[in-house]
Amino acid sequence: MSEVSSETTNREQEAKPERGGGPKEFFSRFLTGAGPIVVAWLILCAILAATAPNFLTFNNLTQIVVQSAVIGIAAVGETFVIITAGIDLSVGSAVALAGMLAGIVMQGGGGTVVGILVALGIGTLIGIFNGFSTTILRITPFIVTLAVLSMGRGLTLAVSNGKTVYGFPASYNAIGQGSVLGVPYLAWITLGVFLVGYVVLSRTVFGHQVYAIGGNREAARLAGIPTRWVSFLVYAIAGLCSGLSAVVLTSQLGSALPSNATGLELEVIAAVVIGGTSLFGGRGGMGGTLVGVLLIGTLSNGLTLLNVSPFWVQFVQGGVIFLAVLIDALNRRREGG
Amino acid sequence: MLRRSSVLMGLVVAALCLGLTACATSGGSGSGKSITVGFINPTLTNPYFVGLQKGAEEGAKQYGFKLIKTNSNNDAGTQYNQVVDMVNRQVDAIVVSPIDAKGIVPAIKRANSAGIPVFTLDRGAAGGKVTSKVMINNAKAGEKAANFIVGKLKQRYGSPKGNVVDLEGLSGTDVANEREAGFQKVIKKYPNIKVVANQAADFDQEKAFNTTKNILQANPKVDAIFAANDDMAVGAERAIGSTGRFAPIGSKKHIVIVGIDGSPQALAAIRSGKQDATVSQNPIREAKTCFALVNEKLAKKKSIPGTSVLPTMVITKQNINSQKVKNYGLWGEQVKP
Repeated sequence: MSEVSSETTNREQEAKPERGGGPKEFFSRFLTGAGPIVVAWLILCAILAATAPNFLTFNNLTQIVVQSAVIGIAAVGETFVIITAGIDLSVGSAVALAGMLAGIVMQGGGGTVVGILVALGIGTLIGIFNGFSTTILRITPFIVTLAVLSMGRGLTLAVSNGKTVYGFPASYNAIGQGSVLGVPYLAWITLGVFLVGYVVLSRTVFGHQVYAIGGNREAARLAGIPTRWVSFLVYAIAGLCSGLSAVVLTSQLGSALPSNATGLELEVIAAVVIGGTSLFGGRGGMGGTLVGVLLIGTLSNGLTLLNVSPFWVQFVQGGVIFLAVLIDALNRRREGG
Repeated sequence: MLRRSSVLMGLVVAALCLGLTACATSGGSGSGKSITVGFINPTLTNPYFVGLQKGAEEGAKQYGFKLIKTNSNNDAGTQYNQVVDMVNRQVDAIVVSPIDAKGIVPAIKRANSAGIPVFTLDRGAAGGKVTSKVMINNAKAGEKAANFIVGKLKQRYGSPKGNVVDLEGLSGTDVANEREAGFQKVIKKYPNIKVVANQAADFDQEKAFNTTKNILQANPKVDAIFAANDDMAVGAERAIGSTGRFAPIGSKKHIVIVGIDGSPQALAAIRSGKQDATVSQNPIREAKTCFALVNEKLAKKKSIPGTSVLPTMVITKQNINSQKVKNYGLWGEQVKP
């Protein structure tokens, strides 16, 4: 089965040198397919460094990573889903519901560890529900996760009575607000999750199966890959990531709002696609997603520092996403890919 | 292939960023000692907050502040990030209208630990050190609206009785809770006034339109509608029109409508006789009052009040052209594009 999976993921394999040492090789593998976006992001940073006051300070740069934590961690899960040619629209609601239930448990006296476990557990359960519905009940992922988007938000409102929940243990809030070695925990967590995501996606049999399913589901099935099981797991992973995003968001705010993370799924999908992962499945990677997430984070940070009129900010953000995807599309057409 | 597209992408991003700096209203570094104020607005899709922004612009101009404006798209996580952006940019003061009184607390603490004074507008904060807050009494506004309805019902039936519809604001927001509490406090005193429907339409015009249509369908007899903001009042008016239940003011069948805010559409509806009254506030004045306090504190180094509660005013067709209302200010007619 590994023969076929490596055949269907030919393109990734070609671009990657065979196992090499050195950090240079690591990064070139890590960022496979994300070349244009990396350059775009670096240029954006250079321009902001030259024009925006206080852009190039240590605090601000770590803040960009911290600001990207919620989108970024959810985007790791979404990358898996999209590479299988699936989609998960329930991310925002999953983050809200997982955070809200964790909040309610902690407000009722639960400790930090319990709160984290509840958030991760609820997120994973939502992912399992998505996975079950798409693989066993065979409902289109778009429709299933759209329904879950609505159900999740509705449940969040119902369990909270529409009220903000707060009063978490100090050690829980410290996750979102503390730092070690001068770098916020959230930056460590985000980068750590990306690293784990990268290793699972690019260095394990499971990861190869994920690519194989996205490349050609039928071929993958014939080759003996347990396509349903892998698809199911991919949604569960996305749910787990949403749960972790919920911990990040609620610990940052020290409270859980019923309106939390509304529309987050669109930003997450945008980040994944900007990073070079194809909505048709089979190609893309974790490094690209990281850069896509950082591009979005840098942009919103930079627009604030530059004092762009709030009436224009959303347009500019959308415009950059469009351009990034356009260039990527043109690039691929030229490659004949 | 990678290099050519990278250069292309780079050029596009560079061009875009040049455009960005061009539409930045006052980017670049400060000139000497002028005071920079970061203004964080929850949304720009509600005219009230457009009024706040206009007041902030006028106030900043009056006192010679440099103003950095942002819009949080009603997302508490975004708002938190924007406050931190302002802290990193080392502004001299932060003026924020919190999306949530609890969710804003960690952000305020970040500003506190950086020694940047925080001023809140319209909504308060549940913790952290706020230098000064400017707001209206939302419970009082709800009471005023209820009293207006009670008066109209007395006129109609000789005693306070009838069927009333209550359109609540966005569940979980302090503003919605306080306005609802004020309204209920008054209405509960009159056992013959029945609240036949009590629904949350989330301060949203479209939702109020649909909700009111359903309510009118279910209730053949409705004497009055209380809407916790003017957008919902306008939605309710459209619902009355589209279900053929409209009757002019003065007719026995007229459905009395009262909103809160004094928005542009509400003022137009009051002038044309579709809406009976609005309990108006004045966001332009609120923001200017806040900026005057920033000036007192930062430029003149004076001590300032911790809380300023600004008055509201009931505006009807009878008094809309009066000098008293002119003095109060029809902000809704000033923010029109």
